[in-house]
Amino acid sequence: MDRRPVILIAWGPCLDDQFYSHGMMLLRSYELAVAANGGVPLIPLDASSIEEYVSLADGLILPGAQREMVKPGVPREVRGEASNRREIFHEALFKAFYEAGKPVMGICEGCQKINCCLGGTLDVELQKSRGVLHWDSAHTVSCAEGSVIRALWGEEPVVNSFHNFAIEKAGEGIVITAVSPQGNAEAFEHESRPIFGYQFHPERMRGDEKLPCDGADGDIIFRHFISICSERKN
Amino acid sequence: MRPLILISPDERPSSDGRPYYYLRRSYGLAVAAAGGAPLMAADPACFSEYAEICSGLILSDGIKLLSPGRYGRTSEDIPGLSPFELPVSVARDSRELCLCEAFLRAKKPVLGIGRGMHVINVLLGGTLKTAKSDGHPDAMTHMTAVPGSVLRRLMGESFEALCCARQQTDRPGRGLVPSVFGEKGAVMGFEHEELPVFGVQWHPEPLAGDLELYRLNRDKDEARPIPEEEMKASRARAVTKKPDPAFPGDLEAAFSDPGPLFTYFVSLCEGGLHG
Repeated sequence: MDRRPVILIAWGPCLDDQFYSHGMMLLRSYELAVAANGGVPLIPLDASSIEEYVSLADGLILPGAQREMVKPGVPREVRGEASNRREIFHEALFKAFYEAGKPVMGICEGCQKINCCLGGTLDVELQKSRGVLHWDSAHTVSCAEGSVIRALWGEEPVVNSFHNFAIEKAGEGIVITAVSPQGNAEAFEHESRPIFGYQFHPERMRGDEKLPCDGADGDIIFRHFISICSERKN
Repeated sequence: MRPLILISPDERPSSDGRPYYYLRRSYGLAVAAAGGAPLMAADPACFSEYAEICSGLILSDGIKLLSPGRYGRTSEDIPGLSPFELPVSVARDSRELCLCEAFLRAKKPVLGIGRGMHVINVLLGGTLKTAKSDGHPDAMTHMTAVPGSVLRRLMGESFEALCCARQQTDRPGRGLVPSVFGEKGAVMGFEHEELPVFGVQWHPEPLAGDLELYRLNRDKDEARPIPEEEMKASRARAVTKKPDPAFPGDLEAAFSDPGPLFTYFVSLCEGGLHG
């Protein structure tokens, strides 16, 4: 039987409240969105197994920043190590999928990560530079003609917003396809590869989490990505 | 290629109430060190694909109890709590019972650790009882393994291991043979008479590095203010999302020894060992 496409979703760092040990976490909203739209979600755990992961999977999702630190007083060394592990692992995963020519989708922090892996930079003081807080809010985005996001969502969809950083200089091959009213990048696609980035959270624009309530349908973004993974697999 | 080993995670609510999957890193590191490629399972509806894709399943431990209703008992089994206060994870029970059944059907290796051991037992018709433990990660227990068992071959006649169980095996399920016992006769490990299926009540994953962290951190409650220079350097790195060179990013060498159980389990999954 023809199998549904396997979609890897990368983890975020997390601390255990029983052993204080480092762990990996994934917010269920990502997994639910992938499974609801025809993918088989799995989370890769180990940097030395990336070859196996690439040969198994039909696509990769780099999710938004997610972390749970059980105590506010977690020492800086512990936090620092946690973020470092994520940066190193996500970069290695992205490079391996990029080289294999397999589809990659970045959401929020994942979209920024892809941009940086391709030589782009970030604006890390978005609120100062754009004068607006992009946190727990909603706004329209203006989608470029001929782009994937425009084909999926039309000219001016409403999206949610949960970020403090934004893309500044676009990485090599990255074409910004949607911008916020303040002018920061909200979506990109790659000029020649199946690589997509979204600064908003489509996994929170579907199912039980319809944020904002007048937002576009997040399922469409996932269905598009998973159908690309499926086509390229066959 | 290394065999793909599926690990079933714990489920928790985040600080803003959104559910997430959680797994201690030592599981993945132990599987990798033993020669497997670890993957964390996610969707409860994908168990048949998971059993097809992966060569073996590890059911991880967790703080929440397995619901007494799953083995034909009631909340009276857990004294002092009303049915609404039980620290159970019913969603996790459902997900793991289905997942475990899919791997058993495929006759693929399954290893249950702590709570995971109880999932195997309950799936095969066994029952549980509550155990007294404060969940303190310093609780070492003396174990004795039964002659002729696989666990004896791997662990030796007697050994000390970390154990912070809140539930224990009462009646073992169909085909499960208890092969390791604790000081007071509690079942600490079992193996299936025909299938490559094992359950252990202790933590066989290498926790050394994590315990060190625990001891370092258990008394630290106050956040140290971050000096302005460090903040600046951190912002500068964030522009290109480069890792901080001050941290190795993997202190994971402490986990390089997977121990005999993980080594054996991964080779079972590779199809290299039988029995």
